[in-house]
Amino acid sequence: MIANVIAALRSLNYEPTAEEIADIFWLAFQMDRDHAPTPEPVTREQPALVHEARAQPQLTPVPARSDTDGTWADQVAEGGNLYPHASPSTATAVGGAGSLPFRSPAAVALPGARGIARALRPLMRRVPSRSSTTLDERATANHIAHEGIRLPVLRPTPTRWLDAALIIDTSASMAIWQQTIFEFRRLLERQGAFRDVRVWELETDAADGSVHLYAESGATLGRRRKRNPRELIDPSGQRLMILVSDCVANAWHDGAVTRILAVWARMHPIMIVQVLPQHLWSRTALSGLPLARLRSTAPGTPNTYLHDDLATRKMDTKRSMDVLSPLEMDQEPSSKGPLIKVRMPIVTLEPRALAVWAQMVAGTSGDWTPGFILEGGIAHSSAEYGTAVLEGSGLDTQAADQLVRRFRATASPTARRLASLCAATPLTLPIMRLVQRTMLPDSRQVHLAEVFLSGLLKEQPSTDPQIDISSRQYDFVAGVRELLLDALSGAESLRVLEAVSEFIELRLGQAFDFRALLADPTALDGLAIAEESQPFARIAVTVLRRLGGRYAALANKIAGRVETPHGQDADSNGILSAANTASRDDLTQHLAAAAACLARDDLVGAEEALLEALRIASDNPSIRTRLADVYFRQGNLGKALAQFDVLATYYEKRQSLDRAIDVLTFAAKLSPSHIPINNRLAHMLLRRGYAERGLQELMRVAKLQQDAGLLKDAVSNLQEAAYDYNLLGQRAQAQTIYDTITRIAPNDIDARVWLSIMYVIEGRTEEAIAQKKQIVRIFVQTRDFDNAIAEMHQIYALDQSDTDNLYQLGDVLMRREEYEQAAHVYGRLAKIPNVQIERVEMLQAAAKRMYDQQQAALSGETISATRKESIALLRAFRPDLSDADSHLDAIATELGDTSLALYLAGSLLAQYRTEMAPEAYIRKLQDPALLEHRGQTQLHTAESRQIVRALEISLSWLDPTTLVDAWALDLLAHMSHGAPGEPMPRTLLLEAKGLSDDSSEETAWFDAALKRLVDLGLLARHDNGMLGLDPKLAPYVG
Amino acid sequence: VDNWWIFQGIGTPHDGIDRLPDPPGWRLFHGEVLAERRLAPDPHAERRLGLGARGATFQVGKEEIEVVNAALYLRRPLLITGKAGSGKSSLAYAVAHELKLGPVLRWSITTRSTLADGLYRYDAIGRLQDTNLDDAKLDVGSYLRLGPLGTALLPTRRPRVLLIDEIDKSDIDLPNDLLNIFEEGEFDIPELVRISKDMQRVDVMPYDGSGDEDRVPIGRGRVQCRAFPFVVLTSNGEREFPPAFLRRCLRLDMQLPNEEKLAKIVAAHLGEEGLAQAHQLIKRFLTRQAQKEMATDQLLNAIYLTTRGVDLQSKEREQLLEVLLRSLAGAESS
Repeated sequence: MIANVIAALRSLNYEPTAEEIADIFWLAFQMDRDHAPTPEPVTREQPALVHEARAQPQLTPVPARSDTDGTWADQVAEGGNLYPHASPSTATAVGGAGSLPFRSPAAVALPGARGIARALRPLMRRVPSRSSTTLDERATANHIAHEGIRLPVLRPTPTRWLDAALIIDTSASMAIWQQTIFEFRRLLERQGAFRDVRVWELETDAADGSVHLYAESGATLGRRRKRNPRELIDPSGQRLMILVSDCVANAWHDGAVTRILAVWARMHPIMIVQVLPQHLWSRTALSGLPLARLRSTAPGTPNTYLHDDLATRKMDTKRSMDVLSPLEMDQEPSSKGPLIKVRMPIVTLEPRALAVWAQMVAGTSGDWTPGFILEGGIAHSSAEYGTAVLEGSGLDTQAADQLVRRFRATASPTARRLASLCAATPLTLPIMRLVQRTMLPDSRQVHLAEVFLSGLLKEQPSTDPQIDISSRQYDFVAGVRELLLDALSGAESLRVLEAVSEFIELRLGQAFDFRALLADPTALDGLAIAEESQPFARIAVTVLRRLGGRYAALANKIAGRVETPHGQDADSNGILSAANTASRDDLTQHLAAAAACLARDDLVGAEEALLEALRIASDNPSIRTRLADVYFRQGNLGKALAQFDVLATYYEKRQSLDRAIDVLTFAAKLSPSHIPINNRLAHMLLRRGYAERGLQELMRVAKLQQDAGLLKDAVSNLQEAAYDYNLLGQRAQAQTIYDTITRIAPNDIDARVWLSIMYVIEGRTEEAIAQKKQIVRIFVQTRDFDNAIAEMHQIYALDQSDTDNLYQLGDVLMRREEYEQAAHVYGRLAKIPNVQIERVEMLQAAAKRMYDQQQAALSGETISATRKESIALLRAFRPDLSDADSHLDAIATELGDTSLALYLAGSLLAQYRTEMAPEAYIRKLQDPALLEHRGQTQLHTAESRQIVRALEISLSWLDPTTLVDAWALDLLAHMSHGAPGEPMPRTLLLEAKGLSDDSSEETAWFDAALKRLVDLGLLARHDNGMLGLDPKLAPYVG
Repeated sequence: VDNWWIFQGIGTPHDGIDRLPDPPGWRLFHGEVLAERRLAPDPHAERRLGLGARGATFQVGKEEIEVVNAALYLRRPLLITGKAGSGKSSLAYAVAHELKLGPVLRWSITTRSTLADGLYRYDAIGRLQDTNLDDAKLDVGSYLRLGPLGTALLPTRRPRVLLIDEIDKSDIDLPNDLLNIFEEGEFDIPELVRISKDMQRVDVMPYDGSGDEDRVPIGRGRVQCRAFPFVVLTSNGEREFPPAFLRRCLRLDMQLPNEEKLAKIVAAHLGEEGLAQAHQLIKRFLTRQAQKEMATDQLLNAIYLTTRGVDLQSKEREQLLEVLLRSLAGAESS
């Protein structure tokens, strides 16, 4: 019974330890016990069942205590033969559930582990802890003995210096290094040098072309969450980052990885462990990058601050890279070159290389460590050989032929043999390793890596995105398998088949035993081939067919029972080879029919035939191409484009961006103004790294969108383009684009912020300020005062003498009731020469008074100084009146001591001192009809009521039937729109009215109108000649 | 309710723990019970479990109950993984409350936590300073306070509940150190061992002591457990644990509550009338949770504030909801 249970557990890929088995049985026994509902002492009489169970001696052969696992297993094994296997837990330790107890062919996946551990020893430093102290017993004892005072001596606890972030590239080609990485990780964890070792996964071959970071999480946690690379940054800098990669995936070529590395390199020492040996680096993204030797001056130096020897080697470089500031290092502006550069030590997993690097990080040696200057931001054309990895293209045999020829020319003999042997098997990692072990015992992981790098393989699309790495299915690019098999003798291929067959039997229990079938082909009748055996059976058909004779006969027999795999690519020789016999015939028929129809120009017939064919092989790119062609010839451009769109998606999913680009380029040529297609093309180009072409295309699309009125899309595209240009260091282009954006969308803050930043960097302060003022205007308009204030402070930092800015800042601060700050701002203003000192002082006094009131309100006091100031304000306009004048007091009362209202009143009383006496003004104010045509919404506060009342009276002096006043009203309306409160130069206003600054009659009227407004106090003429409408008035005029 | 269940997830306290059979031989511990403390009720339980007029509102599923019971029977630590808001630590409180095991001993792990922090803390400096004064109280027990783990390992008849929160935040040594102490079930206090010839028994302060006078006796400087504590370790899945560690623990992955369970939680916390208004919010919460990280607490807050709180304009209400239902994963890359 126990043996059965253990067998059952094993079949679930679970290797229990003796203690776990004991737990399981004990618990099962407890669960079966008949528990009485009431608590009873455990010593009660056991039911019969229990006695029976207890009677099984093997169940509890347990001594009272056992100290270690080992003795446990031994004891149990002796007593009850619970555990026949010598070593527990190979499987779960390696690959988790689902993986087989297969280890890589080489005995250890990480040769020289001990040497590596030794190499890392310099990192084992201990540093004084920042957070904890310990009692220094010896020093304390000494102290007490010598001084006679019992005082403790404390020292910072020594703690491990660094923790380690192990970042693992998870692109498809990294699959073969799983075991190596596992052992390296274990080494880091056990070596004791690091406070902590956390593992992160970097996805570099995502379908959308971007790079994603994940925290390695327990397998049970379900969906993984993308993490921000900045999460890895430890502000204390005491973290070492190690990225394990083969530097092959697309994201390495287009610089996406480098951009992330640049973020980390600024704060932390980081290095790349290149799993491939150096002679293969030329096939990775490292090819063509500048080699450099790196060196540090202090322990734990972040990469950005490393020294390199590029400058000494390139004498034409003006400045030594050593003295480049970190900023320049990461973002070196240059018109054509790549933008981001990262100094990066790159070492293989060999003790010597690691030792030199570890000493550099620990700062214990001044030796140079080899590395590269990684470049990002723009794609350099990658070695096709490298990027071809696992790309599923395979439309023509030409490619297969070329691929194999190139592979044979460059790969090592062992790798060539391995590839041929693998051609006789289904391709999963465990099987490829099996082939290595049984057929090529001398081969190492590197050779497998060479096969993976050859571009001969592609990954089979899987429905399960989180499929375990060891059950991923690969296949050769169409046509390659046959070519490779040519190099294999019949006997060899049979041996491979045998080995694999055995393996599958072992794994699945029930096998597709082709040797038995060879002996007795009739056994196949009525035999169903299990789904798991299908891939193998398919390969077996191919291999056996080539052997001829009875093998071929069997092959044909098996072929009839093999299902067509779903979603498999059709290959060149046609579209056909993947399909099974029945549907293959149908396909052939449909395609022949289509060809016939085309020959006689029957486009409708051809369309129907191709649609039928698509129904059988829906993913087939070749059929789609033909269909698109037919649609185009029919003149149905829309349908043709739709087919191209599907095609592009097809290639995109298979990581063949270049092909997708070809398709889209063709489609875009057919319809240059079709926005979705062109848009897609532009983004695909950028993703692939064709920056220049992509940006041009993007700009073109933005123009199309703008013309079509899709302003939002256009702006979004333009922003992307500008951002990219900026990243590439092409500031001029970026600026032009941002300028365009501000024209299309004047209220787009992002663009203006970028522009202002660029202007600041270039020292074009005036333009920067102009942009910032626009930003302020937008913020004020959207009532985002906090941001507005922040921007105005920046403007002040750029130009301390900008009075308008300070006026506005003060005004906004007043509105925010931050009176103290406002008073401070007015104080600054007062120090600027040639400022209207009375006005400023008045404002400052008002701010101070409001502040006092605020404080008083807080402390519960009242202040009566207000009225005095109100009267003083009015008397500034009418110094002829006495400050004891009761009318002035009445006006101040009516207007609630609101300074803006008083200012209007004062202006009017000064301007029309004959027409309107103070008492007449009071009567006007008290006229209930005054506010008749104002909506209640405008008058929701006492302050706004008072301002509007004063304003109404002032406006009533403007007579729309006279020419000048009509002009004035018009101007007022103009200034209250767009940018209310924004001071404008007279010339701009002239322009807005379609006038030029000349001596024409209209210009004279215009000036007269301006004067009217200024006289009435409605407009303020600022020191620099600018004209401004008080923002508080803006909502009520026009 | 299966009749082998000790913990039944019903929320009402009972004495079922007395039915717990003796541990299997390999998990038997022999600490001598020197004195039983009187345990104060857990001040956090009420808030944690929403105890009130309506009874406990924390909802426990069948799978959780089974694993909890297995851990109780086997005297094995329980490692709970799950996203924020799935109620990992509340489970520990639910067990302590229902089985009357006293206050939960909670140990929140940070990267700097060490095993020693969990066991006990010896105030050598305080003692040294006090010896400078002539009228020093030289009772060594006054300078020794057990940590949450140390307190959990005190020999008692009923197991205590020890919650080791966010074990995945720990540094690399802690899981293995814990593994050893869980196997041994005992530890020495060198400061007391040193003087054990003269003082066989020292009264020290427990982690959850109610005052200076609440002491527990320790004989010969060794703490040796009797009833193995019910240990709950929670993890957000930030790190993998050593295989040996995982093998010694029972594991439970808490799922985020589904609509039905959420409805129960809402009804329990806010009553049926709250539930009636909340159905739409629950739906919205669930769609959002599918994409972002959200905690159940956020939902409760949202429902409470929008149905019970201030009378809000519909637009303000919408804005408030946006704020309340913001993703926890603020740092998520776009």
